[in-house]
Amino acid sequence: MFKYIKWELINEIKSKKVLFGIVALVYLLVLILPNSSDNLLVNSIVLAFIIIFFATLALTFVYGANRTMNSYKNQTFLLESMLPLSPSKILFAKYILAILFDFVFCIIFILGLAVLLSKENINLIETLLQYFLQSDASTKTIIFRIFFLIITTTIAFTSLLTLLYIGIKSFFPNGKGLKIVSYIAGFFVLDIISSALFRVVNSSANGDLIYSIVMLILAVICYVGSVWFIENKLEVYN
Amino acid sequence: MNTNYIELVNVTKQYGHFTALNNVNLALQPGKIIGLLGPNGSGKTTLLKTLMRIIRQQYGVVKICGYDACYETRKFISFMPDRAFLYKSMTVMNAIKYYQELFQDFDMNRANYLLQTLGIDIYANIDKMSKGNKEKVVLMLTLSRNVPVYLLDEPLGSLDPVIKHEMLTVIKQCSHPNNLILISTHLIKDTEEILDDVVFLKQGRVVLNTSKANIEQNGKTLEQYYLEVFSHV
Repeated sequence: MFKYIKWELINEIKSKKVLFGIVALVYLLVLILPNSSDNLLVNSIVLAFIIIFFATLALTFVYGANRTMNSYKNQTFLLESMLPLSPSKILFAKYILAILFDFVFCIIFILGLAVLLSKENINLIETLLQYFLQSDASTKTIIFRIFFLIITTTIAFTSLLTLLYIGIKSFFPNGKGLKIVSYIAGFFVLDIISSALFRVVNSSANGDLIYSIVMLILAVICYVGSVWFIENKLEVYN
Repeated sequence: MNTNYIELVNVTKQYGHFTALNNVNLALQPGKIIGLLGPNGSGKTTLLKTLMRIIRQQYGVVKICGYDACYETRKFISFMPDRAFLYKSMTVMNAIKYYQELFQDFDMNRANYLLQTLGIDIYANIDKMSKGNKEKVVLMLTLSRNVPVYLLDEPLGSLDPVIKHEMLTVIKQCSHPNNLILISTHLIKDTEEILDDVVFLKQGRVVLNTSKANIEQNGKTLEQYYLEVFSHV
């Protein structure tokens, strides 16, 4: 499984190297640009920066889920169908990859924020590190709990969308717009679950932990459901 | 003991209202190169994908080396699909490493031999190769695995005669008493010389399953017999 993850990572990085290069270049240019200018080139770079900034923010939440859904399309599925790995292991590996890539885009977003704040002479990375290192144990616990909450929600979102996509694709193998339908249904279902949960956990001191655990359970249920569909129903045609 | 490496019993596969495989019964033994022959749309690729469990039959039983086909029986099969499936950024060397790491049955000595025989440049980027060379790479990877069953889906495609000859030679060399090579193709003339047995598939049905020698005993070439069965004229 780890070898599979390694190769997927290598392939993904190679296929995104131009994109990562452009992001690095734009960040660098913004860093060295003057703060105010009416120059067309400067304005173009700033516009590119804004687009990248918001795109990476969006990708932080959806890239992993989108990548997992895409992996059940034709070509990737064909390669995977030859591997001597069970569908459950492959799907688990895809979840790990999804979290990793969400994390990568999160880092790119934070770096973008750091570039932005540096224009106001604020060193975001240093400030965050100092805050974390100087904070007491209870603050650190809160930070970790927030981190756990984000991770579990991301996993739940990825696994819910994957289940919906694979489930719908199992019944409509040649259907169009399955990903859009999965996104809409996924947001809708997650919204209902979250709203119901918030009402229950709002008054609890450990509300965030309960929410995280429920998200983790949701992710496991969706994972088991997805594996069942892959093993018993899913077909990928040409 | 069951010596069938591939066994299909009353297998039917439908795509909506279209029946791709219609009550197919087939039992194939090792030690042979078998041609799965039929025109486009006769169900050849569907049959191979059913064996690989990429798609599932609605009715019937599929067995690989005596086991009901499932994702675990894929370990018995080395499959060469009729379309690109490797990562686009891969060089030949990367692809070999990939197979070596992910398939325990990958035989590096055989891979080296096939690389040499087929004249493949290991530093070349697969995506930038010609169609013929891409096919050679995939064939090299497929045949470098030590498995009981090899499924080759249209391995010759639209290749030039030299590459066709090279590929047919290595397929023949890889045939062994303990393995079964099933080649799906409609290029009868090209593959005729290396086939031991043939299975004719017509509109999802097996209309013939016999040895090539049997056909030739009647004074006909395989191509002549094929045209008799499939020609509408």
